[in-house]
Amino acid sequence: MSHVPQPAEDASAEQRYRALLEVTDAVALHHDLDQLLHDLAYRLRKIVRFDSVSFALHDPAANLMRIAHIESFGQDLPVPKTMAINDSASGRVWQTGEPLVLPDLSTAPPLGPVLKALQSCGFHSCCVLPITVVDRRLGALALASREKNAYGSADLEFLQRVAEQVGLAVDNVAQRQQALAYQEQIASERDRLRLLLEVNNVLVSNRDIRDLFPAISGCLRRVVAHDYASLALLQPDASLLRLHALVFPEGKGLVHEEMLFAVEGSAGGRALAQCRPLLADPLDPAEFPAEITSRMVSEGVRCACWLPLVTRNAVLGTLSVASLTEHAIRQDDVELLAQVASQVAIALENALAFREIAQLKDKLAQEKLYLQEEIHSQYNFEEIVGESRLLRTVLQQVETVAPTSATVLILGETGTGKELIARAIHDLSTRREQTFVKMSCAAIPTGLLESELFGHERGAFTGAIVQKVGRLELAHKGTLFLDEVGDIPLELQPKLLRALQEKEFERLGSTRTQRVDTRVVAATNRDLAQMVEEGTFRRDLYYRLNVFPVRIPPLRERREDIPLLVRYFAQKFCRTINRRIETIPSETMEALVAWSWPGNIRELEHMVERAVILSPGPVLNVPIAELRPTNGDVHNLERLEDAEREHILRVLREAGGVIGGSDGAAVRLGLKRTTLHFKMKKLGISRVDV
Amino acid sequence: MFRATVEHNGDLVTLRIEGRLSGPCLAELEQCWSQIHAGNGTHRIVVDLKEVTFVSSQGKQLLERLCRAGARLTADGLMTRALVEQIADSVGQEKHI
Repeated sequence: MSHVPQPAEDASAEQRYRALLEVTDAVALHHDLDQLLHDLAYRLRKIVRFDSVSFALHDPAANLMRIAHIESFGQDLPVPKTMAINDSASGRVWQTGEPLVLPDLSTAPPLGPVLKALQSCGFHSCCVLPITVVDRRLGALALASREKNAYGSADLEFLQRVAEQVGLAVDNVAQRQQALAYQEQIASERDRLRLLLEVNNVLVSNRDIRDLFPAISGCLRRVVAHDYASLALLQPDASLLRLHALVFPEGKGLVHEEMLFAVEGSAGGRALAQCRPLLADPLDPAEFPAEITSRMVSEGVRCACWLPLVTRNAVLGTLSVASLTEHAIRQDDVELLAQVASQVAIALENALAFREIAQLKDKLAQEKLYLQEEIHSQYNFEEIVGESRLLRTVLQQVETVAPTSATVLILGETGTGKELIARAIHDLSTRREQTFVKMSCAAIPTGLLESELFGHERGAFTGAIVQKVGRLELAHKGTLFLDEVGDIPLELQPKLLRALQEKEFERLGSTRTQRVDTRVVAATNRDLAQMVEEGTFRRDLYYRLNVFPVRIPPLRERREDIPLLVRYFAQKFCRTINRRIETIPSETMEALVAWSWPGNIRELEHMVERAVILSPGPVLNVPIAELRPTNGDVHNLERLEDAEREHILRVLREAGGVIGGSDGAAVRLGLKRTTLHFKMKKLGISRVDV
Repeated sequence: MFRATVEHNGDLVTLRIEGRLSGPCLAELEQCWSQIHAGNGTHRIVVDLKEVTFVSSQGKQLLERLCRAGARLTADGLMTRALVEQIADSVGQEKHI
């Protein structure tokens, strides 16, 4: 409780200056205008005679005078809080900037309701002084007394000094309040920016929007109080929205994730159609007749805001925030939510794009597996048929070299199965999970070979309309099979040599060096050593390729495999064209075994295929006549019989003279025991010869 | 591709093999055989190779082992029939083509 000072008697000049200093101190001491004015009123009353003091400030917005503070001693004054400028002494003083002294209110001109109220309450004189600062007028300070002629010239001079101090104080407070308002605004903007940053951080931390949506809602809740947040995705036909993510702890289950609702008639649909935020406060099912609205209202939602999730490329859906309380979401909240929605839309678009990429990647991987399986099943690369010693030697070589990364050179006549062996090397190596890339050097035009092998950049040459990855790069970590390597043109050989030795090369039209880890398996039916001598193949490349040569014997050198191959191909083609062949006549088999097979297994395969087609019954009908030598080959036939005799003798010796049994000569030759006996008799072979 | 199917018919158990009998499938077949063999006591077991398209040399060795362990091999088609004959010859078993 403040002590109420008594009205001052006439004060000395010293007292007044001291009082003025106290006023200055009070101005410096108080930051609250009301408290300051209250304090001033009490201090002034010690020096100046008055029974009421009021401080009126001009309100620029309403252009009127507003009583900022009033103190009356003795009784409450029924004065209005605001006054028209022209209808009040304070207004006039503020307007003119000149003080006004009314020594006797009873003789004063009519000056508005305040003075009338003062007069009716027993006041007889008053003094009104402008409150100003250097650059503007702020209001007026009014003192009133129950005495007539209470304010002399000395009082007026003193009160003008006081009014100046009050002006400074009012200005200080106004500046301070403005500074505080700015500070609050900046703090609010900082909080919102921080929120956006946090939302961004949450969005980039996880690509699954559903997983991170609760975190987004949590960030938002600190700035926009809400009970419900959801993310709805527009379905492909654009007529439905699906609730992809929902945060609604108080929910009863009427609204739930994965529910579909119509775009038409929903608030979200309108927000999408208008492509701007929509605030529904209160949420009214009559305005939005879609079922989702009535469900939300049944859940207790009273106000809600829908924000369209739209990017430059697509319309994705809506983000909505709702509250169980009316007016919980303000217009400035909507602006913030719109900014959050922009970020969520971008993240959502990225997430959807990533999901699509992942799906395509999986699909490609599945397709790759399927195609690899197709290649394997179509060409039966695992199916190397034969049990001959020569073939076993080759397979042992394959097993030896496969686990290493050594370059392999496969040598063999056409049709001997070089690609089969190359694939076997790849399948038995640690690179088996990676790609096996085949390139037939003879099948590609010379001009395109470099581009096929090393790739090219866009615009490297006329026709290079897109960038192309070469086979060497495609086979990175895998195996590159260079078939018919002898057909690589001489000018390209140094580049291939560098790629093999240094494991690096440049695409056509590029200066950037590509590094690859590719195993090369080369094959040829040509005599590379001879080509080196003739100068058509580089010696250094030959040595680089010839690290581990594997020679595949021609079929005529492993005749014992022919019966196995014939039966294998016959069964395969029977299955393919749905034939049933039970037997192969021994004469037919003998003829097949005896033939020289210049085209090797490929020729045999095609011959058997044709025979199966030509065999309507259960007996394989091979056109043996085609296997008989022409007149010019009679001498060869004689030699062939000699060769057959020598071959049977050799196998008999290897089998220790045993004809039957699992390791006997008949099995080794792929013949029945009785057939071998017949042949031995025919060729004049006896046990003595063995 | 490889598939093994087990069929029970009275005291006869048929192990039907389809596809290629080579590579990793062999271990699978051996395991399948062990389970059948362990759980069938005196039942007769037939290994049906009618739908087999290829048998590697390791596959042939496995079939020989099954044959020695009491399995009867049946086959259709030129290649598999010749193979079954050869295996039956080597283990001294009656042929069941």
